[in-house]
Amino acid sequence: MHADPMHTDHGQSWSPLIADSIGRRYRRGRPWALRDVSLEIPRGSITALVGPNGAGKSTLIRACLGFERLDEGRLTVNGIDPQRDRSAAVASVGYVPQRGSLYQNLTIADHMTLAATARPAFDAGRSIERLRGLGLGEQRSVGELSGGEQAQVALALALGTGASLLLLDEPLSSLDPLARRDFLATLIDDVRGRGATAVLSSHIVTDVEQACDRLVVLAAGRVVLEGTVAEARARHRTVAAGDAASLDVVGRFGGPAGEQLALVRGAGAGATLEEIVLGYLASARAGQLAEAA
Amino acid sequence: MFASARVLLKPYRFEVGAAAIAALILGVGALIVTYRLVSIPMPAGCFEAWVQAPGYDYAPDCEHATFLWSSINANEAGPVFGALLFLPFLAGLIAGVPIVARELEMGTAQTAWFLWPSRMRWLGRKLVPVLIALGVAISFAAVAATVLDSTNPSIEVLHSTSQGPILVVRALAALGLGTFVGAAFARSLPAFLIGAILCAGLGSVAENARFDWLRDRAIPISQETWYRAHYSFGYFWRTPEGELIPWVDDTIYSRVPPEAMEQTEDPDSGPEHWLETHGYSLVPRGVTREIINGWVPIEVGAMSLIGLVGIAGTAVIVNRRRPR
Repeated sequence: MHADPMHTDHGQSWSPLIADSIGRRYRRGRPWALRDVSLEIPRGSITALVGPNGAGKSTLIRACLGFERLDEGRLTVNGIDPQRDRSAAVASVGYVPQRGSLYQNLTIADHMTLAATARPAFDAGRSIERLRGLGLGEQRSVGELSGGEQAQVALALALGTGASLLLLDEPLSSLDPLARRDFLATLIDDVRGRGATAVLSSHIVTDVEQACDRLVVLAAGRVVLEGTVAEARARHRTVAAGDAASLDVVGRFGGPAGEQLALVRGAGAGATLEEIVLGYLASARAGQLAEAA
Repeated sequence: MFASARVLLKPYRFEVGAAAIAALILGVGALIVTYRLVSIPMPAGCFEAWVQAPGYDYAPDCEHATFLWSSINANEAGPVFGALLFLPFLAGLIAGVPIVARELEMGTAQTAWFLWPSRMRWLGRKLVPVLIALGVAISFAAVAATVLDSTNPSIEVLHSTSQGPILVVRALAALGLGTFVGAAFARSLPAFLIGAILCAGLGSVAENARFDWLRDRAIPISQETWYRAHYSFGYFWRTPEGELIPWVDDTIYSRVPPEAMEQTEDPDSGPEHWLETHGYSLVPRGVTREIINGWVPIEVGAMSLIGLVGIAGTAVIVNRRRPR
C-alpha cells in the first residue's frame, strides 16, 4: 500500500479523494478526457459530479479505481495512489458502475456469494436484508429485474463492502423518478449513518440535488465549479440576460420558456442548482468555441 | 468454497457443460466400443492372422469373428478416435474463450474487478473450476480411449494422439489460447474464430512435427511382424553394405548397370530384379510402440507450455485492460 506521505497522519483527517492536476487523454491528437483537474473531496460529504455527456465524469471515477491510467498529475484515494497500487485502492472503495454491469444470469444471492468470496469482509447478510426491505428476494435472477432494481443490487454490493468511500457512476441515468428516490434514500441513509463519503456522477442536476451537499461541475474534462451546494446557491443568482450588462456574468443560457437568462455572481441567492450548472456549462462552452475560433 | 466455485462457473455453465458432456459422451462411446470388441469370441491365432494381413484370406474359423472385429474397429472405434482428435481443441476453446471475453463484452468486468481487488486472484478463481470440470471430463475420455486402443493388437499411429495425456494437454493448450484470444479481442465470437484457426494450426504443426520426429527415428523392421510390433514408414532398399535407401529415392538406380535397366515382359528382368539378385533387399522401416510413446512427453511438455503461456498472457492482458 502506497500511502500519500502528505496525508499519513495516522488519523482520519485526510480527504478520501484528492486529485492534483490530473489529466487523461485516450489517444494522441484527440481531446483530453480530463485536463488539469484538481479537487479535494471532504470526508463525510456527498458530492455530485455533474457535467454533460463526455465531460470526463466516468473517466475521473474510473481513474479512482485504477480502471483508467492517468497521463498527468496525481490522484489519491483514501491515501492510496491507484496508479501505483490499484488493488489497495480498489479494496478501499465501494463502486457502482454504469447500468448493465451485473451478471444477468445470476441471482441476487449469487452476486452476494461472489462479493463475499472476493471480499471476506463483505456483509452479505446486511445487503440481502436491505434488498429484502425493498421487496427484492435473493433468489430472483438479476436478468428479470427492472433497471431500478438492478441499480439497487449494484448499490447493495457497493454498500456491503463497508467502504468509507463510495463512487457511483451515473447510477440514476435510466431510473424512473420513484426508483431514483428509493436509490438516493438508501444511499443517503447508509452514507450519513456510517459517516462515509460518496461521489455521485450524473448529467442531470435534479437527480442529485436532494442528496448532495457538494458540487463539482465538469465540462470538457475540466473542473469549472467546485464547492458546497449551499455556497454555490448563496453566491449566484439568475437574471434576465438583458439586465445583466453591468453584472459579473458567469454564462447565458435559455430558460424553460425560451427566455434568455444569465447566471451572475454575487450575493442574493436565487439561482437553482440546475441554473448554476447550466450557467457554468454555458460559460465553458463559450470558452471552447472562442478557443476553437 | 464449493458455493463460490459454483457461482463463478455459472455464467459459463453452458459452454463448460457442452465441452464436458462432449468429452463424456466420447469417453462412454469409447468404453461401449471397447466392450463390443472384447465381447467378440475370437478363436486363438485369428488376431495374428489379421494383423499379418488385415482384410485378406482369414482362416475359415476366423472369418466371422475377424470380420466382425474389423468391422467394429473400422466403423465405430475409428470415428471415436477421429472425434477425439478434435475434441480437446474444441472443448478447450469453447470453455476458455468466454472466461474473460464474456466479462468484457457484457460489461460485468466492471463489477468483477471492483469486487476483486486482485485481478490475478479473480482470474485464478475463475479458471480453477473450469480447469477441474474440463480436466475431469477430458481425462475420462483420454483413459477410455487408451482402453479402447489397447483392444487393437496392431499399431495405429494416428490413434496415439487421440488418447492418454496428449488429449488432456491439447485441451489445456486450447484453453490457454482461448482465454488469451478472448481477453485480447474482448468479444467471444471473433475470439472463438481466431482461436479455432490457431488451434487448427497448432494441431497441424504438432502432427507434422510428430511424424517428422518418428520418421527420423524409424528403424528397419521385420516384415513378418510389422503390423503387430511396428508402424511402417514404407520400404527401403538395404544395400549389401547395410545402407538403407528409401524405395522412393531414385538414386538407387544409379547402381544398376544400363543393360539391366530395361524392363521386359520377362519377370526376371528390370532394375528391381537386378538389385534383388545382387545382394539388395527391400525392407520395411518403421517405429515401435516404444518409439511412438517417446513422443508423448515431448508433446505433453510443449502443449502444457503453450497452455500456461496462454494463461500467463491472459493474466497480463487482464491486469492492464480497461474494463468496459
